[in-house]
Amino acid sequence: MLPILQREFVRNCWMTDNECMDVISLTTSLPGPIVVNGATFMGYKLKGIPGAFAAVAGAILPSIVIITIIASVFSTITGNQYVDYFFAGVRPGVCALLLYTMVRLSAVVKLRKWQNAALALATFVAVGVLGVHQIFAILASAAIGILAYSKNRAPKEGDEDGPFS
Amino acid sequence: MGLFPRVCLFFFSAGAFSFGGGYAVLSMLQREVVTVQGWLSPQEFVNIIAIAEMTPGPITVNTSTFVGYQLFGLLGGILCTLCIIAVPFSLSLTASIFFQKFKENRYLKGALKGIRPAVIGLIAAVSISMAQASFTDTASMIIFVVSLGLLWKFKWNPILVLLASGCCGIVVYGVIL
Repeated sequence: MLPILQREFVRNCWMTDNECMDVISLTTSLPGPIVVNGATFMGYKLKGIPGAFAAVAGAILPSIVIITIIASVFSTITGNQYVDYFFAGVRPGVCALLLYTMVRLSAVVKLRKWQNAALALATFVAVGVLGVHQIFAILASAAIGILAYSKNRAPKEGDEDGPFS
Repeated sequence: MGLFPRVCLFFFSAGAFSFGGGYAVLSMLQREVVTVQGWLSPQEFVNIIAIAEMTPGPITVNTSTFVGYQLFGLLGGILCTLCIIAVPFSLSLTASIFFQKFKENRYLKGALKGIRPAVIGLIAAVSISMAQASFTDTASMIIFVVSLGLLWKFKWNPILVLLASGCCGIVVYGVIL
């Protein structure tokens, strides 16, 4: 998704590559799907606020249509034995996908740094075992990130990004 | 509070904290499924995730449309989706307008450095109960391992892997067993 978005940005907005990087980084930083954030930026850049609305509407419309079609037939097909078998097979597949996603994210997030690993583990225990609400966990981790990052105003050699990078 | 306002409020708040590629949303949705009984069964929940993963579009949007439709029909699907993108859209629009200010904000940067590892923990938390709903017998474990292999070793597209695992399900449960 990201390379496609990047290409479209540069092609349609006449942005420099650096500006592109900034927009990409912001769209992945803010909450929400990258597609929605990216569409908002591009729509605004091209046609102002109405453009942003139009771009987002366009971005989500295909999904809404496709999912609505699937959902409308869903109740009728779930009675079917073979459909049930299909989903019985898909469910472990989804678990595999989640595991794989975790592994990939761990590489990007540098889980080998003990601070990151500790935060991931703490979140898992808090939310998965203790039943803490996810929003609270996200706010807490954000606060920890801000504190840790701001403390490192003069970073050591080789650790310019701070403890949680 | 009626079910509809409650669901909309849920998607609104889920969208506001939907960091990390939509998986935080799944974690929150699962919580609603568990605490507010009667929405969905654990297996229905996993099925919905599967459909949301297999169809084009952000998993967040697909999930909200699906759940909204299941509960409240066509308009419900659309409204729930609008709720889930409301905060992201507003924030992105604000960020577009005041781009320079957002770009260098060190609080945002710092916050993300904490949030990103936390999201991994959230995914792990979702996986536990999803695993409970999914691993019912040896066949499902085998399908899990096969799917993992397809993703990891052979780098298959996730959509293809889910379709393949579904077909495996049909073959294994329908034909062999």
